[in-house]
Amino acid sequence: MTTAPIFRLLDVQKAYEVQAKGGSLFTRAKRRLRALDGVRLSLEPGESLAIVGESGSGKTTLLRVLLGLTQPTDGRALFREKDIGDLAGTDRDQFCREVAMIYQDARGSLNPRMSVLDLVAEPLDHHKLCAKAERRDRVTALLTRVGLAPEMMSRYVSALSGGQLRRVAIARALASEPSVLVADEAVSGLDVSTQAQILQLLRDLQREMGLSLLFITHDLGVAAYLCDRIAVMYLGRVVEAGATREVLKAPAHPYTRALLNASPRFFAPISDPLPGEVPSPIDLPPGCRFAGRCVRAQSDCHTREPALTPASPTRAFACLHPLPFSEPSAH
Amino acid sequence: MKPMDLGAARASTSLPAALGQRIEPTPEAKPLLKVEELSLSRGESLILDNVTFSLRRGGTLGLLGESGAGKSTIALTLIGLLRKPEVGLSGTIELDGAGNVAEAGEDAWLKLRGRRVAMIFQDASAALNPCFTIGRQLMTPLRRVMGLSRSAARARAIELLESVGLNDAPSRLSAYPHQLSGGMQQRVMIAIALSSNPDLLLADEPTSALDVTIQAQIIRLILEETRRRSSSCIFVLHDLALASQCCDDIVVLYGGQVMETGPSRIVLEAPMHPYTAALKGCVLEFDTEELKPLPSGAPSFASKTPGCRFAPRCTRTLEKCAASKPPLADVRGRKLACWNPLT
Repeated sequence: MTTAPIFRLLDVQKAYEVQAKGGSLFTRAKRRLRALDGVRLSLEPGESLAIVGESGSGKTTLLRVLLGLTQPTDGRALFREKDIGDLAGTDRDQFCREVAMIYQDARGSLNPRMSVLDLVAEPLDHHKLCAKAERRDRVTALLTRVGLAPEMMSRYVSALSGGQLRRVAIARALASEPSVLVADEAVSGLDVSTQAQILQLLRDLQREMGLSLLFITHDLGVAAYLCDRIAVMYLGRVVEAGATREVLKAPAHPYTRALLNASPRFFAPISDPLPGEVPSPIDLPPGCRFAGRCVRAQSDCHTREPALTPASPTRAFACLHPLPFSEPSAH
Repeated sequence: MKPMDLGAARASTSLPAALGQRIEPTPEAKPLLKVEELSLSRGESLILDNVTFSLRRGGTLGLLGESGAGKSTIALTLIGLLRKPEVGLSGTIELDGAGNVAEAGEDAWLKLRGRRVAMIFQDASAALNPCFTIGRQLMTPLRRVMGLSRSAARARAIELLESVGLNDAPSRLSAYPHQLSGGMQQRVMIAIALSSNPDLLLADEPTSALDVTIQAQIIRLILEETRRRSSSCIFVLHDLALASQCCDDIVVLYGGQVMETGPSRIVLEAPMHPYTAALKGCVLEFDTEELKPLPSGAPSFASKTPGCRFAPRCTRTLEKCAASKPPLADVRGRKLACWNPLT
């Protein structure tokens, strides 16, 4: 096992060409939509990283780049120091085996015509990880590990509850003995009680099996519970990153502060909400992308774009006028 | 098209005090809504079992519980979308000035629905009709329910859209729902619900599909608008922390039975029912080290089950819990239905 990071993103940019409105079909100008703009991230072995942001912040595009489903238009996306897009042969097989994905829509990601046994065994068969005779035992062990009774094996997706489905999706992800789990909103849309069970399961798995975890979420509470590190995204950029506890205790970026204030907390008065919505990523104004909604914006915010700069070994943020973050900020 | 909405900041800061401040309940004689021993059955299943709560004028109430607790069923009953004889209904729903609406037929409901009681549905993108413009969907009730002329309805529609924080309201009237973001669709739904000045607004998980920052905007908007009109609001929620922020009173439901109800500050600060406590234990705060999840399980709705429906999942079960249903009794500032409560 090397100590090199599992994933490394070097200034990854992903731009889409979209057609502008107006004009005729042929004269219509093409405009660039930058879904990701200079993202720099790494995931070390055994580490858990949360990617947090609102819809439209580029979380899903980031995920597609990491899984090699989309090629970045600029910058490099590396898996164990090799470009994800160029993986071929055994490297590609290893990548597919080592990186397991838990999708947001568990019901949609599982084939309704396959039994739970076949669903969980599919990665085993694909990677030829066990003999035919062992197949059933391996699935039994996986189902037990995620807290499902082995009798579930003969069931179909339509007969499972939301929580059971997530467990099947997790068992399926674990089947290929991955070293990294990538989860996209794996607990959204569940009851709090079921969410708590799944989160506990994921944390236990991560700790016991030494897995790396990349968890995409919009819920800061989930990020705090599950992940050592956090990266907050806004409009295709990482605006703040660092150790989760430190960041949430005293965020430096006003956007992180706003997200924190908007999260429901017991008996706290409802905060002054952040004005407006995430603007369109097409034709962004110059300067900081958040300036238009920021309460601390000053004139230079509209002209100069801040870069993600490290402030301490465990903290980095992209803001010209950050909040005081060395001591817990007054609330 | 992703709409630009940078300037949609409402003059929300003009609100004098923090919304967290509660209006002290006035010892008013008659509540706006009084639900007593409401039971709803479908065939052999008893979906709601003796639900009792009341709501004062200007108050906010939260219905809380996991899916299958009967929260949305109560909301649908309160707006007359679940009625006799489609379902078996017993008990009373006293709406001030309209009598017992549990007995009302569709004719009576046509006069109440929209005018006295309005609803904000969970999924705005599904509740708005994709074939009609926002303007048409907003102006139809204004013309039919409020009897406004075409031009008056248009003016009122623009006013309403502005009041819910949509900028550029006149041009939004000709937009179709798909041209708006989720947050804006939810605002349009709120505008439609508020268009006829209802006394009672039902908000069924109004923000569950939205980002937290938009959620804060929407909840604030609903509270501001209901307060300004001194109307009342019932929130259907599953987030206890959010309920503590926006509801004066809460009703915690499990399997169609009321487990615990009372002022949210009292109930949520020190829950006495094991179920309320368990739900609270599932809420993540930023410093949560360990979660204590409830064991899995779903309630049985068989009408013949005699005891507390939460008993099979409860950690404090006594023998009599499965045998007989605990009555809803006044204990320390709240109403509680439990044989073995936490102290």
